[in-house]
Amino acid sequence: MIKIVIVDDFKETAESLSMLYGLRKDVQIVALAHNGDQLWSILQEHEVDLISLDIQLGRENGLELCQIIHHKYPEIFTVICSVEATIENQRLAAEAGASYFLAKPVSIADISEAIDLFLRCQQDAGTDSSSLTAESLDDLFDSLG
Amino acid sequence: MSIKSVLKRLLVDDLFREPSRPEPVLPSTSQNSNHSVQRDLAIVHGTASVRDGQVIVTDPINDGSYATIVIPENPLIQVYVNGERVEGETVVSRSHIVDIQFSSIQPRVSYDVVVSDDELSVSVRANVVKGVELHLKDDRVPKRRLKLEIEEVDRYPNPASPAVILDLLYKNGFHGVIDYPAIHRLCTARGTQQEVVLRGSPPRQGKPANLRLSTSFQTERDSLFRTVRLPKVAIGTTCAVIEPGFEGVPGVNVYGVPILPASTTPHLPRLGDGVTDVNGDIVAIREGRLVYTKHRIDVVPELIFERNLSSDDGKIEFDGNIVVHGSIRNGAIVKASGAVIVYGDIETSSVIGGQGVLVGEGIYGSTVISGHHQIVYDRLLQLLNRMIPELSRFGHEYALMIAHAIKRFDAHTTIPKIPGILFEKRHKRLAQMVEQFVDEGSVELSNIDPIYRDLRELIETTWSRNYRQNVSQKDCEIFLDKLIAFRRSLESSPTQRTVVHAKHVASSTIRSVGNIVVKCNCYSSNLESGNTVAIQQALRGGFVIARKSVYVTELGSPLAVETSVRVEDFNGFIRAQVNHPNTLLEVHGRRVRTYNTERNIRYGGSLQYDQDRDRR
Repeated sequence: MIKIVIVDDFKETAESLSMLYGLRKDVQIVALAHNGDQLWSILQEHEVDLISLDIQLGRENGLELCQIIHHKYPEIFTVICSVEATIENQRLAAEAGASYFLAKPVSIADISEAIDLFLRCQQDAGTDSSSLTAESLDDLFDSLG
Repeated sequence: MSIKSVLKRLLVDDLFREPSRPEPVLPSTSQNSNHSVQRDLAIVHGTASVRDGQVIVTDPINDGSYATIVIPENPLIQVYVNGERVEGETVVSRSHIVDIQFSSIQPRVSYDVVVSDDELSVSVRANVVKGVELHLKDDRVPKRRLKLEIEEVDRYPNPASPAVILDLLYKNGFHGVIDYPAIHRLCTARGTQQEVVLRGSPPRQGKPANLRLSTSFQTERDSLFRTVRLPKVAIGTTCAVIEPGFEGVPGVNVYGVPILPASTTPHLPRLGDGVTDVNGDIVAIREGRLVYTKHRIDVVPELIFERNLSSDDGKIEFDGNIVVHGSIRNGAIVKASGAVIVYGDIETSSVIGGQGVLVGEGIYGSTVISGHHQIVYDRLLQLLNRMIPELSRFGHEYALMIAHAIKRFDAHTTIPKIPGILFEKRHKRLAQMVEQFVDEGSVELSNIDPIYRDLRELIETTWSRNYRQNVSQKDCEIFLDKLIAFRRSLESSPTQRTVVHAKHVASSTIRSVGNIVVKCNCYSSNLESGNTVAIQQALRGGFVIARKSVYVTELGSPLAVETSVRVEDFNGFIRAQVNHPNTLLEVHGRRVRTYNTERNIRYGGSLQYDQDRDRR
């Protein structure tokens, strides 16, 4: 199961996101947080795979939180989910260590894409899209033993 | 008589006395001189007049003046005096030979051929230029200075022979029925005019076969949902009749080329599992509700509950409509291939209706999906678009590796291992997608869709985890062909438009391939529609996504609850009577945030952003 925490200062939005993530059978919503303090206490108590993080969290800045999460919990997949979906914010999110950016409003398909990306990152990619050269053919035959 | 009256009379007589006749003009010196001028020799001037088109000139007598003629400025008239061309005012004498020549304009007519855009008629345009014939106007009163006046008479072309137009049609190789009266009118035309002179024969359109519902059916009106439904029918009922069509008759255009009539391929609705065709009659093969749309006719069984449903009832799945005369509560799971009609609420439950979900009251803390097969097909189509190129690449690399392996001494042991190593080293994603293809569809989809069922069986017997290391190149080709055929069928199949209708919505997720209509408020919910979302009161919190349009009376809340709405179509739009702060509107990627209360907004469509701002 993919354990998810949703951080949004609006409980309505957090609830909506929770419902959308909850539609996936492979997802478990660990908790909803409305600020950084709540998030840190959840992270101390629970093992978390993915955090959905808003940029505007009242007085706090989600991007700064993202940076700290990335530093403290580098294995956590962070999805920034914001109405402020400017290119600048997306760049800042990437710089802060976010793995994905979702622009609100979020659809079921958007959530699925984020989760699928998370799953792909978890697995060995295993797909080599480079063209097959004579050298790589030899490597493949060598691996046949 | 007084002197005064005598003088007065003399003056009045003088005033009313007739003017005396002019006396013959005398040489200027005659008045004042007493030289030898004979006052009885009257001077007679020369004159000119026009009689029967000829200029008649008299010469002066006793030193009178010669007459002059004034020639009008007209390029069509030329005057010669004694063979010499003269212009303006010219002195003429009786001895002169005055010759007046006129250059008349001859009438003429030419014909143009015009073929209509549909090539079913030929018109001929007669371009008539009328002629002009000039005459000298008679002026029989002899004058000393005669102004020649010209009289113009219109001349029209002589009636043409119909052979002229027929020859024109013949030379152009036209075919069709000739309109002789029209040709005659053109031949006698006195002005430019156009007439249709030849007609091809248009194709006679056929009529496709169509379906006519049995006239005996009485519709049922539901005042709660404001719907009209066809009645329930018993097995064996004749639901509809196929009225045969007839083929059209080809026509011929004016070039003699046949014109085929429009295709009369019947667009009959698909027959559902509940009906069958018996000699052109559509007959119910089970008891249930008759459903007739543009795309489908069926008899759908109906499962009716006269009570509330809950998780205690277990998962309810039904191939037909489910009607609940109560509420669905406490974790119930209800799934119907037809419509789900709930007269009460849906609370903390999951409801899936293949043909729509109608809820009399509210939807709270629940998930409601309408048109789930269409949603699955949409997902499968997206998956196919990724899967087909990946499988194609797999097949290509398979062929490359075999070509390489057959040169090796251990070819007989190496070749069988190729598919396995390809999946392991280079195509893990393809393996995942193949598994996803089976997972996305359901057993239910296998039951209703033979193409999907066939593909699913193929995967389970050849491409599943246990078998895929043995696939052959032929297997690749077969699989690829079938996937492409399935994609084609999905792309060409009509899209369903099922609806979700509810009074209130809160903390719920609703997804519909058609419209979503909320009669009152919608709070903290996710709505996704393949067409339009209409919320007749307030939308507060949550996400709303629609393909074409969103209508909301009040968007967001005065407390600035974050609310976002997206419309995906380029020409889509969002309308709201009141738009509170902290809402986000997005139409086809164009986003705008609201920081103040706005009224009567319309965002998207042809008007980029239109609102009366800050009228609180």
